[in-house]
Amino acid sequence: SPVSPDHTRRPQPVKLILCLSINDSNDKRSAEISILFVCSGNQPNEELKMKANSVLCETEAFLTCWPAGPTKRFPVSDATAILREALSSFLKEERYEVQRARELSLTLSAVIRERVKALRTPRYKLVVLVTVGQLNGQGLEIGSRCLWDVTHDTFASYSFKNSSLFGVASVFAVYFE
Amino acid sequence: MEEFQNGNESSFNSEEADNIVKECIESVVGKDDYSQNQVNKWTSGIVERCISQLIKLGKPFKYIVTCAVMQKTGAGLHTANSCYWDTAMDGSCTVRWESRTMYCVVSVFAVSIA
Repeated sequence: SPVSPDHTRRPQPVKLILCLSINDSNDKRSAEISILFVCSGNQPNEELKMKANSVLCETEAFLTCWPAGPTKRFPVSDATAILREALSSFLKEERYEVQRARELSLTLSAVIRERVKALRTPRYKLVVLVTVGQLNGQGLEIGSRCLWDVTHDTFASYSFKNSSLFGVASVFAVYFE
Repeated sequence: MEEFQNGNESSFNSEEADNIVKECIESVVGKDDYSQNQVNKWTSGIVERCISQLIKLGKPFKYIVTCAVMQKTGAGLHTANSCYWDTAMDGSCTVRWESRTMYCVVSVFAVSIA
């Protein structure tokens, strides 16, 4: 909103130039705002400066609440490594057996969740999905779709098999502002 | 009627999602026998239909939908999930469906954004 001059004194012609620069890199966002007075004759009066300052403060408050995005992007390659190591170490020596496969899928999903949490990615919610099945010559297809924010949300996935069973693990990471 | 609405309107309603998923599976593979050529089309079709039906609910959630289609040969399959989220608002539902020739397991995860 325009800064109105003080009418009790002789009006001074003032031009205002508003400079706004926004730095929007992956790690952080910052903005610099300057209000420049271009005056003819006398210096700008204190009232004008105060009004300009209050405009700047309101703008700062507005920008501070603006959604910032994650300070650290979810590390997909680290998550994939966790999936690969967990599946390989737990399943390498196993043969398919009903009760054991059930336990393995539950254990793997809990273990993977804790290890991915340990990557310390603030403000990311995690969904871990593990499937363990018998190799019996059957056909199988697993697919997924997500409705989310592609700039912040992502997933990692890995599949493993030996002669008697297979394991597929996925972790979906959803940013929560 | 207002007074019979259960609990918190903005938390995930898994019963509602359950019905949506069942309808999506039926409409995509309800009448077919397992076929290796079609299975890719079926998994994509089921998840995409689920997502579009879930969007129509108009709730403030992000969704993850997974579908596994497996031929019936007597082989065993186990699925488990583990989530790190807000237990009050977020939720999931898993539907197991079978026909004479195949199994279909669909999981929906809803993560709130409000």
